[in-house]
Amino acid sequence: MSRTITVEHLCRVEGHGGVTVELEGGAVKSVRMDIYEGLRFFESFLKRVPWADIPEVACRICAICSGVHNVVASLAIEDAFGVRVTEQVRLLRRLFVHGGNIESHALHIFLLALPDLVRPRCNSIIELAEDLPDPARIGLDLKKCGNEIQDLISGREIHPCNTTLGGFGRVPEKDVFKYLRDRLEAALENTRALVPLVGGLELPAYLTAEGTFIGIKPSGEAYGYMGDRIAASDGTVTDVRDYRRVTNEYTVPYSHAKFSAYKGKPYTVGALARVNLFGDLLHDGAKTTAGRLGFTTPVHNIFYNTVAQFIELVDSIEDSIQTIGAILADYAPDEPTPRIRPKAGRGTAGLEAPRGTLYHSYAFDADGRCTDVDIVTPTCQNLAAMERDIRAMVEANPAFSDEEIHFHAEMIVRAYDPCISCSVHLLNLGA
Amino acid sequence: MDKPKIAVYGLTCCAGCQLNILNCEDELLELAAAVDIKSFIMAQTGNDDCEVDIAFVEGAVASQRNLEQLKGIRERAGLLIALGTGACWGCVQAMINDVPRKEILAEVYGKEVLDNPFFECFEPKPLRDFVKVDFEIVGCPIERSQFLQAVASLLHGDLPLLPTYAVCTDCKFRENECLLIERGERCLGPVTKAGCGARCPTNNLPCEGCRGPVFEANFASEVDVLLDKGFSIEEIKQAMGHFGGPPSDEALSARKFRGTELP
Repeated sequence: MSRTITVEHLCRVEGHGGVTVELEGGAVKSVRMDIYEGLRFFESFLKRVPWADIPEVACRICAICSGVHNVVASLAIEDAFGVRVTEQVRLLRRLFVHGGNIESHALHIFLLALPDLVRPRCNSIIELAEDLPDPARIGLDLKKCGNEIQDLISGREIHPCNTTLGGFGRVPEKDVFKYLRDRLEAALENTRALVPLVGGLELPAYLTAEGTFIGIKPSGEAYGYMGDRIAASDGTVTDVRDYRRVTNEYTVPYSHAKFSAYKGKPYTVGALARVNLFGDLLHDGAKTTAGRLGFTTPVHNIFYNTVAQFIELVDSIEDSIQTIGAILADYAPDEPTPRIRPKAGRGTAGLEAPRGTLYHSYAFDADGRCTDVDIVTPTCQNLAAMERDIRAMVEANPAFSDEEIHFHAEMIVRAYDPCISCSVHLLNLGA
Repeated sequence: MDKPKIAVYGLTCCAGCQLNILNCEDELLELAAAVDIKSFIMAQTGNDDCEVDIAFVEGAVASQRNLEQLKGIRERAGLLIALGTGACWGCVQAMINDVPRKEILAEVYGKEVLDNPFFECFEPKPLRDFVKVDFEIVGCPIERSQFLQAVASLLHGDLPLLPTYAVCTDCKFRENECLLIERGERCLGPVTKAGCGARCPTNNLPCEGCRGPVFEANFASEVDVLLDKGFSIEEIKQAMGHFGGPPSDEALSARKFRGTELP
């Protein structure tokens, strides 16, 4: 007997996609991530955009990830043109990336994932707020805190308008940083109240297989999202400029997004991958939080991605407070941005977006005209792992009804915190 | 009285306008209590595509799939509100609307997909090109405050009142130095619809035009000033086309600018 279970439209995820599971006599015949997000051809039209405008157009790939798209595009173009930014710009970008991380993680944990995981289950944050008003309120406030960082540093919560190649249009006033520091300290305190809820979540335990995790190794001594080397859980380290050796993208006929494979197998990027790979670098509060949550690495079950995001949320708040301290210590409001002259060549950068590793790579001719664009998003890298895990779920639960397969497939996809707009920005079969 | 039924949909875009609804952290629960949200796929499960009083639609129409969905929404919605520069002007993905889709598909995906119906698509266009739109809230993304203001008006049975003037007006209120005239930067403030509080110029960066053209935008005069400041006509056309598709030659050549022929 054959059965087909179709999730027409994944809910509580960003973008448009579905899942199809085909069973033949009880065995899984196929699992497909159907990604039908509208085609936008970013890699085609970005080549038309003057180099100075690329970061502000590239961020439109995705709203939730607009900050990291903007920063990584700037880093890649600065790499191509040999631009060196100041320490203050580096710190401001670090703080900006944390703002996006806090907002995105709070969005995923409280608005997208938790409604499945609390008992009784519910449909949205709105229903969640009826049963659990305090966690819902704190979750929304954490999300707002991340947005305030993005707004005050980058000019807007979505699609920055204070960022430019080489730096920022305007360095925010000292009072802004002091306000954010107070805000973050209060937010850090609030996260403590959520530990019992996050630690007590009943997460499905059927995903037991060991997989490969990949992430960008933090450049400094502390946990973070920026660096120039890619680390895999098998111990290999790759220069960011050679990211294609890690991502190995391929196409499938049922998806507008590319898939990735590392050494011929699916791999995972995102919060769970990062905490598994670099958990020993976490700040003290985040380490303590991980201990209270009983989180000991490595964890292979993707449902714990939500828990890893909570640990990272605490870490991002701690690191933001430290980063603000460093900005205020050498505050230079009138620092000029470097003069940029285009030159021929390729520039590449990687950055840890909230949902995993993001790469941008641009080639330019001597006049600064963009001749090639390659962007690899975290969700594309996770698609193969999602299919793997949905297959494992069906195989581990032969008694599941169609409704249960439907529900769990959607929950697995959601656990990866996918961003489908990002995944469908491009697909280059010719490459 | 029953609560007004609303729905939020996304077509082809970055989902930023839907996200900015969820970014109303302080107002979200109160807002949700005032309405009955029948469908909001990004934010909830258990959605119902039933008749609604107000449907908010973000994103451009870029495929038959989008178009059929939009027509369905129009049939089921009392009021249809376009959210954001994608739904109102096409947004960044429209900047290559002058290139045939077959050409781009072949370039990007390879010739083999040209006959694959899964890759069917057309030039991203605003909602009003296909269905009646009752009100447009522009912005990339929409401003949260304007969304909330619009919802408040709609719930009271009025159409919202939002700015119809150019970004320059906002910019003057902020007492910013003029980036276009004083500093000779490629600022699109004079031809862009206000409502953002001149965010970019306030940060010393020229307006990129992300809110789309203001009503009766004087493109020709903007072109004149920019040519005067030393920008080439190609640069000017490219910048003006970033958010609403390539500007038509007709719009640009309303006046003859210094003998420069459009390429």
